[in-house]
Amino acid sequence: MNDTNPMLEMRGVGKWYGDFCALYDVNLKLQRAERMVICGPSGSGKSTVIRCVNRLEEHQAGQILLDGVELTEDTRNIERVRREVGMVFQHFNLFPHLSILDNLTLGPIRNLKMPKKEARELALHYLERVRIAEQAGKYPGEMSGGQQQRVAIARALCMKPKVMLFDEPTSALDPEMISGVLDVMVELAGDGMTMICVTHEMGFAREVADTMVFMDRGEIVEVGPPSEFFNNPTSDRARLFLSQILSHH
Amino acid sequence: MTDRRPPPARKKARFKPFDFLMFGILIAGMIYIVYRVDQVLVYHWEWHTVFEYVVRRDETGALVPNVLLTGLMSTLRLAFWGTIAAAIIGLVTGLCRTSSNLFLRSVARLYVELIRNIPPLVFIFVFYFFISGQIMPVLGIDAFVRSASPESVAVVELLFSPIGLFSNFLAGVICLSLFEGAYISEIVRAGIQSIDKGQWEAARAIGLSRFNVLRDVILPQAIRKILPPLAGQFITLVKDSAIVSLISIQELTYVATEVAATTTRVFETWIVVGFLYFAVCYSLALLFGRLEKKMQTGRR
Amino acid sequence: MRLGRVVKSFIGAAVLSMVAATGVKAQVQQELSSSSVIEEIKKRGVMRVGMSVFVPWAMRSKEGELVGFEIDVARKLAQDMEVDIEFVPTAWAGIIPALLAKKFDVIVAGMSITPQRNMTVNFTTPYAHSGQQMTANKELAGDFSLEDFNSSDVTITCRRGVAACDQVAGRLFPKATLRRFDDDAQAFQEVVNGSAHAVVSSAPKPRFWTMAHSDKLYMPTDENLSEGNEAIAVRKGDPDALNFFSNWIQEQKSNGWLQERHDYWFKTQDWAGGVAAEQ
Repeated sequence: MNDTNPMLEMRGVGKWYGDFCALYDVNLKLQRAERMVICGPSGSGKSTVIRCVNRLEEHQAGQILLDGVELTEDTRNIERVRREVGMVFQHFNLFPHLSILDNLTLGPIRNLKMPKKEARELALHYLERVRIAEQAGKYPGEMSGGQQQRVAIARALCMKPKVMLFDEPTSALDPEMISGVLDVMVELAGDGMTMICVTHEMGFAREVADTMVFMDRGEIVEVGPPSEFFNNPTSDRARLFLSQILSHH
Repeated sequence: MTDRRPPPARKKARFKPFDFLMFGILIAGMIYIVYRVDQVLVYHWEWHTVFEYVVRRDETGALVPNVLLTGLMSTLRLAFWGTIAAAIIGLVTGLCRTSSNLFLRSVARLYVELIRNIPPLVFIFVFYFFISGQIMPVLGIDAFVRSASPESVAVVELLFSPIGLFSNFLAGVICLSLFEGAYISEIVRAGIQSIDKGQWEAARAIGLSRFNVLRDVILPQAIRKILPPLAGQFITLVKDSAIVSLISIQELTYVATEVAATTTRVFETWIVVGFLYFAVCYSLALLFGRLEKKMQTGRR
Repeated sequence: MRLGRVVKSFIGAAVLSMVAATGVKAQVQQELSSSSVIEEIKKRGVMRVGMSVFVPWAMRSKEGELVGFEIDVARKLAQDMEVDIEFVPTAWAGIIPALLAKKFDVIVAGMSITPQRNMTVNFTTPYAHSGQQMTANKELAGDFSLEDFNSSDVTITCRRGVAACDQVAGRLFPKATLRRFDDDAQAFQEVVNGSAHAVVSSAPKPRFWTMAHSDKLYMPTDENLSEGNEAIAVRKGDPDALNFFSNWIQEQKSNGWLQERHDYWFKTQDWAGGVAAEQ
């Protein structure tokens, strides 16, 4: 809407799976070009938060506003939101029956009604940026995990999203593949992309994050700049988490 | 390891002496059974009378198809249209069963359970005598057929059935496709549900509508998984087409009962008919086998 | 005076209602006759005949055409009505339901009149009186008298749902085990194979089979076991059709045409070469 709006705002968002409370009273604000990293122990609800943003999960309480527009059940609204939000999954989820190029052009052609030729050029442009342009004709099954994840990032970028969401993008990768993916993400952050990243890569977080969010048991426990979060965490839970996760790094 | 070359390839599987022994016993057993049957059955085999009902020589001496062959053609037409209609019905109801809409899901479920849990014969009788008796007059099929021009009659007879039996043929196709559609519906449902949840999420995350998700992402992957059971179902459909012989459709099985009754060559007739069915079904199996291979090559 | 007016108006009303009633009656009659299957056939220009293959009533010739006694009957009937004919070969088990569902106009299928069938369809005057005959396996029952077949050790075959099965075999040999086949030829084959003692079927089949397999089969009696009355079946509630068909049959009886055709198909085997049937 206007530039003073936050790009994304969550107000008192809650979600339950049966009796289990997955999210409780989540309040977040994400400004334009802000890079947010969410961390926390497994099962803390960090993936659920970003999956609620493009409605892969439905929140049951509170409000989510994307660029000032509230997410509702209306299908058109949901499809619009999904156009504006790019998502990268832990397991890449490329379409195995389509070539790399077709993986990238599917969204623009079907959703943005982009002509084929234009979609192709766009796709090649982003493949170049993730450094796999020469493999456009291959199928996902013929590529390494790291390459697949970079393709997945390019696929999300092809929709020209306003926000990029990363759901543990490196945790399914072999160690030697991780840096290639992180490099692409750092570059993206440098270009001013608004993004939320759920990750355990604390080095990456230190380098690019504007805001660190720490979650535990469905709640936001701490929000702050990385310098504060890493050096002086205020809560015991965050301290414990950091000591566990950093002891091997 | 000093050598980076692969070890010699394993030898291709070959029959061993023991296998030949087993084959020998099997063949001997079969010969014995045939011999015994010949002893017990007091039967003068007489094949040529039945063959005359497959092809015959007309007045000019040219070979022309006789009733068994035209019956086979009817079976093929029935199976062809039945397969198309059953595939559509199965696809639509299969999709309904994976829908988020409770109404569609319930209706599709009702259809599948109803069909799968009554014997085909009962279904055919109920459908033919009650339902088609109500539907066909409303559609005005018979009136259309009677008033059709000679050209359209020729087209109908080529593609479907003799014009006088067209409404029966239509009822047969609907019967057969409704019946087989229920099984295809289950295959489609299982195929769709076998696709990883991540594929749905990824497709939805790039903003595809449900229709596009299914068409571009889910179904192309599902079709590869369901091709083998689908092929089996289509072959079953060819064989099941015999059940509509009850409703005055001159397909292979019905014509065979006529020929067997007329000639009294019961065994010869059914063996010939069995061979005709086998030839059709086995060719279909080969065709689907090739299709499957084609789809499998190149990609994961 | 007053009374006179009342009487007058009463009489007037009575006359009026009588006129109206006869009008309605006439209309009902007209509807009945216009809805008769005879009218339908004439309007369509085609008579649709339900039938089932049964030697020698209806068979497939070597050319794949339908031939036989009642094929002749039905063709002649259509010819006399000046309409075309269309045969709808139908499985025996479904032939009455198909008639009721209007899949064809009449059944001409060597159907003998039985009370059970008559409950659901109407029959015309019979156009044939076929007998039921029996042939038996020489080895199993060579020395049997007719009474010996009525034993629980005896197996008799017949075609499911035909008169030979229930009315004849069931009545004459109540103790014997009845095995019903969908197909006549199978019923005979069982006896030739020695799997059953005897088969009951409509003439002339038992005689033809006996001649063909004289080494295996014999006829325990030359007499017919019973006489059947085969008639054309039409749907209920159609007196016009019943009258028309019955009178047509009566005429063909009187002029000897039916007898002549019957003798050709039942007494001779001149036609056997044309249908590749057992000689």
